[in-house]
Amino acid sequence: MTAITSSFFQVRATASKLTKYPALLAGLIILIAAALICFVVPLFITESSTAMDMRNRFAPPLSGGSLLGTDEYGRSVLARVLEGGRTSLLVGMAVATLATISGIVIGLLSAYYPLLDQILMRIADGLLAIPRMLLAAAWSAARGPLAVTLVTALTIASTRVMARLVRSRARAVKEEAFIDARRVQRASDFRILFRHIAPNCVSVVAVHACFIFADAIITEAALSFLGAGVPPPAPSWGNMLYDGKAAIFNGWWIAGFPALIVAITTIALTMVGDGLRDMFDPKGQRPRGNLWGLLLGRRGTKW
Amino acid sequence: MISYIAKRLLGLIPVLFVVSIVVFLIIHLTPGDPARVMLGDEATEEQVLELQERLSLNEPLWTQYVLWIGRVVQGDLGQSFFLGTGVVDVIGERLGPTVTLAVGALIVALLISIPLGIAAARWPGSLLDAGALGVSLIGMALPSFLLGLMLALVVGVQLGWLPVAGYRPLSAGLWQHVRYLILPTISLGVVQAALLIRITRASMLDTLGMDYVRLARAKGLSERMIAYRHAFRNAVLPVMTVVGATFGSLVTGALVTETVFNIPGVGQLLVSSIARRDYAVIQGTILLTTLSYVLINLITDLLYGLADPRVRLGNSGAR
Amino acid sequence: MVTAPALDIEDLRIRFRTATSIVESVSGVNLSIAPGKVLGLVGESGCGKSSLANAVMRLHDERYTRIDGAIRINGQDVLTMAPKALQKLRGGEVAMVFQDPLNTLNPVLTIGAQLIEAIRDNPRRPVPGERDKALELLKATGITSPERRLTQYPYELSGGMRQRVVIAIALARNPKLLIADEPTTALDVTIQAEILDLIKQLTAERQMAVLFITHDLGVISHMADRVAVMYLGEIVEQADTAELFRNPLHPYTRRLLRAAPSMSTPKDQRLVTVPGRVPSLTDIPDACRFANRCSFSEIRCTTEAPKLIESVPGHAARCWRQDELRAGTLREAEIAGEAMSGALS
Repeated sequence: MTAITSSFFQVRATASKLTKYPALLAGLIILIAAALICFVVPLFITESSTAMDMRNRFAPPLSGGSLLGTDEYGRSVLARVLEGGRTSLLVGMAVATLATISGIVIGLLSAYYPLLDQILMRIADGLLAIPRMLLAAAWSAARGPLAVTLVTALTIASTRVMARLVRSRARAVKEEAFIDARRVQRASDFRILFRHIAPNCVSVVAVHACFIFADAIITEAALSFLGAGVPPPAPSWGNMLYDGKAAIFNGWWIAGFPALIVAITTIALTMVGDGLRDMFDPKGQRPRGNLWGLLLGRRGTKW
Repeated sequence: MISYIAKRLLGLIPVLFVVSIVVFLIIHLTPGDPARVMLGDEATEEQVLELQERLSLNEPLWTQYVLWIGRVVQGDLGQSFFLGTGVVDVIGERLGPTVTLAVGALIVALLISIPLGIAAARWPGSLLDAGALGVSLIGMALPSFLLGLMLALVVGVQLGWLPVAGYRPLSAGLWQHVRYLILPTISLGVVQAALLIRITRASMLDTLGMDYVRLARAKGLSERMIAYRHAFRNAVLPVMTVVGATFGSLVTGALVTETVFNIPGVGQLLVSSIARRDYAVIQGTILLTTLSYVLINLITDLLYGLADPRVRLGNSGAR
Repeated sequence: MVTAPALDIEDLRIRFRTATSIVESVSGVNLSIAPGKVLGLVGESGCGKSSLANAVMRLHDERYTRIDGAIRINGQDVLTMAPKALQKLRGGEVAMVFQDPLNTLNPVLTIGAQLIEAIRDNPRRPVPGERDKALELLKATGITSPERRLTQYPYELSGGMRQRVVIAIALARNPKLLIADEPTTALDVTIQAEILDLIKQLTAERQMAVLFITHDLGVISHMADRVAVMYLGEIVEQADTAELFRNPLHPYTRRLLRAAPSMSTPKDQRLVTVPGRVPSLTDIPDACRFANRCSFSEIRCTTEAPKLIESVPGHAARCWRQDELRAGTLREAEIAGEAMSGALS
């Protein structure tokens, strides 16, 4: 019983802490809403994302029985956006998770073993020099556009920065005296690595993972837009943009809605990342005026 | 200063080495035989063998790399499989529009971000500050091609004010040249400005808290003078570094934006090469792009050295 | 003939707001400095002396700081001045020298640029002869090879040189009041002496009033005509320098004087310290603020806040028992008190 009540209080504490960061809260809400819409709602809608209806092409939104209109093949934009959302969100999630894990591992290893460090960092430098999208595009081009290759490509491209971040954080923590104290107590290297240094990196990792997620969605969209991503007829936000662009004068909604939703999702993710960073930063101690004060042009805080 | 430059140049070598290896390996990542993939299913055995010979695909990997690097260093990036001409020529033709776009976007970005960043730092917590951070948030979350598409939709399609596709070279008249570039440059520039606004603001906030700013104020200088002459001169240093670092995203943004607005630059070339599996062109483009990115970083580092007297004159320290 | 004091601080109260509370760093301070005189302000870190120094030219952050009272420079109240007038005042009639010269000079501007900026009334309009004036100022502050220095950058000079430059900048437009906030604390001891002599010489030459802030009593004895001792935001004692050193009336001052080691202190004698710790600024007692560390404190000290009373002309102290201290009747208790605190420390 106590376990439940104590975790209840923990949740309450976290929740009240969250309200101090409106941007973070808003971002999280949007994200959860987006996920729900993409994964849960389709269970109730029967519209197909690939069924073509040539008599009903280019139907504008809210007409002809389709909420968001139809595209050049008469397919429901709404259904395609939702399915594309599933793809994009899953890809983003996968990339963020994989890149985080590999980034942590590489970062920690190179922080602890200087020889490995030199080699790994040189490679990372070289990889960093190649613009991320080009790297992903080239990989996709070589292996053929499959979801798996896409995820791999994006993961490779995203790991480098995460690895560097973890490495610098780990090194900073490593210098701290208490690690040496543990060594004196004969804790094995492995243990030190994972039990002590890792938790300290959590804040940095969490923040950056959000940005990787956002980047992955964007890069996937960009790649699909360029034709190197998810191949048609399966919808992804990116290739809907591609189709939409070609048909831009016939139906703005074909590209418009995916564009809007990608924008909202990535902005939400960025807000979450920013919010997390603010939350973890002990230096944000200046008294903040509230939003009303801002709008009314009040300078400083009231006494 | 000389030693500073020399150190920087030396640091480039391992990076370029790794890059060249990665780029080289791309062609060999394809499952199956590259020659067969390029020629497609219809190809005959002779054609495949002949292509393999031509591309030295039967040699051990090491040898191929050395051969390739040897040619690259001499300026020969190979032949475009589909266009028949040298890769260097092909890219060269397309360079103009891309460079114009990138440079234009950078100028737009700087024009937006620096005054906004400075103003946001001078009046933190104000509506202006919130606005600047808001613009920055949008710019950082939105990819440039998306912004470009949205701008195209609203300004080009709905309002019809500006053209949404195509490119007119300078020879067609200055206004025409610019007209077709307005939307793409803005969409690319705004996204670049996003991060720069934040960095400028943060850097200015740091600088404005410094003791020498306090002294400048105690001297009776106006806030404006303090912000631009004392604070900004110091604050600009990290901003410069970030400009160099984000050049990579500027370039990739340019490449994608070209596709949105049908601008015949290197981006479109890359896209079609990817579709056609024209590996030589893909390799060449990536190599050149990376090289330019690395060079830009070097140049910004050098400019940083020029701007900061502590670096320029060497750390001779106190006398 | 009564001339207006160069600096007149009346009932100054400084509060600032942190993320969690409101902190009062200065509580009702009254000070004045006659033209040409040096007032030394002594106190430990956190006693409010730097807040006060910043307030004189309104260098604090106005969004988070609230100041009540008046600060008059040659008759004009700085706290109610219009921004333009304030800007003119700064560097003109009042100038300031800060603590750490490495950080107070702009690293990307040359010494010459920063100096000439200070000389000009309007930074954009060149003043005829400004370069010569700059050289003259550098020479006056004892800087060698002044022509070379004009084109050098701050990091190329030594600490002592830099501080001389800062002083030169302060003097550029012949201020009537100079505020020196721990100007020698960050310097080597040997350089300290030189800088102090320099300041002394210049103030005498130019008849400048000086507010000299420091934590070092030795410096005070060298520099100041009058001394004010600050503790936790209040002035606890104020007197002419010689009188203060000869006859300190406040227990805190006595402790400070005793605590300063001198060459004549026997080697094996324990260093005298002031027992206890400075109470936090958010927890200021509504009685004598020094009571918890004072060896003479009695019931009254812990319930009623003493006022600053001038029991000897020109010498004021904030202590309920200052008459007893002056008369010497507390000497026995003092030794006992010291023995007690000696056992504690």
